[in-house]
Amino acid sequence: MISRQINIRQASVCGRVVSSYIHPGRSIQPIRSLHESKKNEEDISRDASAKKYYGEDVEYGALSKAQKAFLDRVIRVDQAGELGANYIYMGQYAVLASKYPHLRPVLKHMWEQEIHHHNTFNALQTNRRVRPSLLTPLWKVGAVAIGAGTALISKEAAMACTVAVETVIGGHYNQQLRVLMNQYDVPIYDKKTGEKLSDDEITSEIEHSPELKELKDQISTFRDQELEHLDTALKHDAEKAVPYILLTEGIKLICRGAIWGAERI
Amino acid sequence: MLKTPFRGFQAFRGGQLALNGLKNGVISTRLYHSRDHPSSNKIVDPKSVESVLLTKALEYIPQYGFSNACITQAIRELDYPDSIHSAISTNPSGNSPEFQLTLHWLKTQRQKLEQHILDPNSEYHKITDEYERVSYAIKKRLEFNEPVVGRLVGGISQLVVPYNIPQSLEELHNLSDDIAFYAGDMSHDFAWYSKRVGFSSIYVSSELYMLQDSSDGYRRTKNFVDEKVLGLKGLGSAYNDIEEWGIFNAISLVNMIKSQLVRG
Repeated sequence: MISRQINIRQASVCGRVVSSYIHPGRSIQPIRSLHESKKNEEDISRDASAKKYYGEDVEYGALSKAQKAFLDRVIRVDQAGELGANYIYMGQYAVLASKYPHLRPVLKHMWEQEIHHHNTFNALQTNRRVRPSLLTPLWKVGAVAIGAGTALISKEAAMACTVAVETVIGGHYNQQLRVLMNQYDVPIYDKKTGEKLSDDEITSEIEHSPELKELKDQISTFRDQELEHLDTALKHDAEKAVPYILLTEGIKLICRGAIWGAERI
Repeated sequence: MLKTPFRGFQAFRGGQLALNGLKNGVISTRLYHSRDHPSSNKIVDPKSVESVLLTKALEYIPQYGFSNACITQAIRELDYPDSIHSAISTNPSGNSPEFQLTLHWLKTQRQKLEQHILDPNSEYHKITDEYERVSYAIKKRLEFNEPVVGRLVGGISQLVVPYNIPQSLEELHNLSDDIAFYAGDMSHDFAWYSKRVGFSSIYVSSELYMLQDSSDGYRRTKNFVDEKVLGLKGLGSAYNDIEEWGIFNAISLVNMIKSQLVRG
């Protein structure tokens, strides 16, 4: 019981491990000499640094309902979003590939990346048992219509559409990452003893479970690729589309509405 | 003696809390199945007082049915003071003790089914076809009903009380979600919903069938399940075939129009 109450505090300052310990039972005893207490601290520090936790030594505590609900939304909306992106490029490719052969490899490259994103979120949706968006058929039809529709106006309009979609998606991924970084502190336990790790025993390697780490890595990679598509579209004269502001702002509005809907329905 | 006015008060509170119950029911839907946070996926928390009482009470269902008497008997058997009954009767969920017992029965049986499926030695893993797995899981779950089959009508009548329906449906859909997930469902669109609704309705209809089945080892119920699951599989492939046919025709229509345009 008493041994449990010893709380080893360790803080890394400029790479040096500084440690002190608090023993509630001893607080009523006379203050020990500085020398003595320093010696004790060194002993404890050596013991503490001996025990370093790695991924396989720890067990992660339960996620709260709010945390689960957010993950549920993230996976559903990202799946729907990638489905949309995949189908938009499908529509663009169907219209533009034969008309402008020089755009074919560019579109193909972006489309293939979107297919990869879509498959990744499909796998996450089934493995994490998240329900897909109920409006999936609508997203499919809508996405093909937007892709093919803008491509029929002109190739610049299609690129402007890409600019709008990728801007919204990039921003949305960033928002998700911010929450996943900040709001996912769960209690971590020692796998063998079942005791909760103190704040100082938690290193940045074990701070988040591999499950969450992988999700964050995937989202940030995908965000980077989406922003790459944005640059590609700008390079291919997106800004020369005729009602550029109207097109991009309109599509952005549609995308935001779709995100709102896919999170909930 | 003191029970009568107290019960009246409870009924009043029950009405008040029923809305809360609805809310809780919606929130407690399983939202996300975690891989690295295993305690997030628990169906029943075995350590809570309610759970200990109700789990013990399940043993008396064959004797007393889905009634408060089971809980009273469990408290006596566990040597707890009678006042501990308030853990059930004033539960924040606002559900009646009988309904809590019924829900607990359903949850523990679902957990038992999950454990059976996750057991590496279970027969389940010899089956490779998705729909055969579904039919095996439904039959297994119905087998768990056998000890209480004579009392099951009482439990079902708790589930269909209007206030209780949202929570009953949620539990039913959780069961069909478990069945679909472990069978290896990989659908990402509307099929996801159709499958689960289909499995739920198959489960309910076969459970009702089972109540009237007098054949040896519920042979006829098992045939009924097989038949229904096969029917659902047929429906799924019919849908896929029609979709494929539709897409093929849409593409050929576009190509035909293009060719006519080129000819000019």
